[in-house]
Amino acid sequence: MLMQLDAVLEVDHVSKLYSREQISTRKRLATTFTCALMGRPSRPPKKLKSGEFWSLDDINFTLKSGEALGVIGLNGSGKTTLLRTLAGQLLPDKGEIRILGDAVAMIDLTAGFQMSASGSRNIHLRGAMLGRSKEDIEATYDEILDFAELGDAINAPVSTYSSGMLMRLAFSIMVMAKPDVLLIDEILSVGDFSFRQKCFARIREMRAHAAFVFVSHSMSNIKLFCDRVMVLNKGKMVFIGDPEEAISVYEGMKFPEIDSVEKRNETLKPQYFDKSKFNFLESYWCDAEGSKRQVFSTGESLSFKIIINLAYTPRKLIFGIPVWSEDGCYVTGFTSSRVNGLKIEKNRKYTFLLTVPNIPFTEGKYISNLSINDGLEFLSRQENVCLSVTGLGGEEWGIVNIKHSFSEQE
Amino acid sequence: MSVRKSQQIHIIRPDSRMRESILSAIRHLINEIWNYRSHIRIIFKGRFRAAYSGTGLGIFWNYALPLVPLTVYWFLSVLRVFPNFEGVDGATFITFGVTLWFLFAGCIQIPMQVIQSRNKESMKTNFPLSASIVSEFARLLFDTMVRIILVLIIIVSTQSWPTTQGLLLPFTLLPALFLFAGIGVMLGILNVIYNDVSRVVNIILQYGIFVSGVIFPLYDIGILSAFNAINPFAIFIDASRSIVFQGVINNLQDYLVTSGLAFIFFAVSIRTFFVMEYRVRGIN
Repeated sequence: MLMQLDAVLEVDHVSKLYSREQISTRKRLATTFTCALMGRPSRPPKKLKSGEFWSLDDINFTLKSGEALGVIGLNGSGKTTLLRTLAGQLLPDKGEIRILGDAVAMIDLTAGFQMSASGSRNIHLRGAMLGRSKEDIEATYDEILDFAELGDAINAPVSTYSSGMLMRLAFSIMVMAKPDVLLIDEILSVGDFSFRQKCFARIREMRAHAAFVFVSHSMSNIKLFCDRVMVLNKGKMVFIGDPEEAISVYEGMKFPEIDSVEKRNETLKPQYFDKSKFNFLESYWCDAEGSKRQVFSTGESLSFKIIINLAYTPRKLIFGIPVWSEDGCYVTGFTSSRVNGLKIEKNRKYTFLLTVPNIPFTEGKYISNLSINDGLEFLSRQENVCLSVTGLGGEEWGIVNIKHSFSEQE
Repeated sequence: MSVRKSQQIHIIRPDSRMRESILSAIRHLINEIWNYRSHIRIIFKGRFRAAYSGTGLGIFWNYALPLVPLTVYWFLSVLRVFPNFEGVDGATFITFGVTLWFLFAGCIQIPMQVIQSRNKESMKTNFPLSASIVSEFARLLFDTMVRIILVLIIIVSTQSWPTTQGLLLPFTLLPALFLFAGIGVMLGILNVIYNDVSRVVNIILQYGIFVSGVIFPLYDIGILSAFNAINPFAIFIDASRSIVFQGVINNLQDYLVTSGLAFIFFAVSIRTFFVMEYRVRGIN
């Protein structure tokens, strides 16, 4: 089978069947078993049985060396199944995959580890499972030790490792392979910040000679690494192309066509109120004089009043007001000091006033919550009255209106 | 283009293995095991060391546990619970038979256990199930060697000397090993489809030892003697025992027919395993 001249990975109309019911999986397996026994070829499934669905449905794409393809989609959209199929871990039910060279999958990094054996022994075991020779493992052993930063712990059983240490060891073993296609499933949250930077740097190095398929829920990582992005929805490829466009398609899927009330409720979730902590609580949008108001003009002064009486003395009281546009876009957040918190006594009434001297919001409706925390603990998170902003009547773009001017320079 | 020439194109298709013949399936699996030979060794050694790590006696358990059932039968023979059979001392007769029984039963149980317990790991790591099975067979071989040493000690102590034809024992055992490994592989696949299979097999192997001529001969016990003629365990254990201690294979015709069928069954089951390996991956 010939591949396109510069392609390292070709995925040709690939589909994968799954079943929610074990019985239909086993029935289909029994049919394949009979075919295998009789030496008859098994036919691709035409009609779906009860509980069956296509977890991948007619996936097509080509990847060149040095190229990185991001795969995004909601949970259950088929991202990991796609990676497992590309890695040869699962067989497709239709279509064909062609890979020039070796593919390494970083899906379950710790799979194949012997928990009672030492880190050092596991380097050999895991390396062996990846199909690497003893000489090859020995040659990269010191490099793996350096990269994993485990020090003397390398001789201790991995059952004594923290999850971060285990992931660091697993990642280090994986990146020492020199694959032609690297399949990465949401694993760049390995270890602490500095170790993550090392992982990113290593992956960037590998880009020179390998193609990537990269599954992530982090849109910033996707934008950072990928040349193209595929959006999967219920196993179907609904978009492939420019990362920015793909992310907006994905964001659209996160908030599908639902009415504005549902969308608003979804945005403001979760709501919470611990009655036992409060004697009294009242809050509302108001003007500078403290009079209740809901409608403001762009550029006007905006205030928010909180009258509070707590049943206990908090250690670190924090107010937070996250604000979203009506279509769920997070605009900004107002917060009291998060460092020291506010100091108040129990069973006493206090009044706090938030002041925004110049509202930058453009015309529209804005939804918000009032969060009251004692340190990290939420005491209350409740929806505020919707804020309406009337525009200036001129040209406005986006959500905020920032004062600006253009002037000609000599 | 030079890079392209040096690299291989891997093609992943649904059931591409279905097209393979028995011979090419066997060739493929032999190549796979050969390619993974160093990994099989590492995994065997790793699991051998790790199996009882953290216990007080540590690696000693690897030697002690295979000997426990043999030692019990030996002890019972010393107490004259079992008489001598066919001119062979009772302890030798039983421990020799029990060693073969555990070897044959292991050939069935190991593929079943590996296919059941490692198919998810195999999917995640791409480590072939065949290599996992072979690494566990290495463990079975080790256990058998330990048992054989004890049997030799018993032979020396009871002076039940084997014949020189006993050197043919490995060849006599070969068709049995093929047959039972083939049964194990086939049942392992079937067990993924029908969960009950492993339970039934465990019951059969737990009690089958009493109706397979392992502890006492069956040829003069009514219905069991008829069953003896078609029970492959009994046929191979009887053949092995008779070649070692009498210098001839009793029921040579039964042995040859069963051996022929064993090779055919092994070939069919290996191809079935080869075709089904990727299909059973990840299914509990």
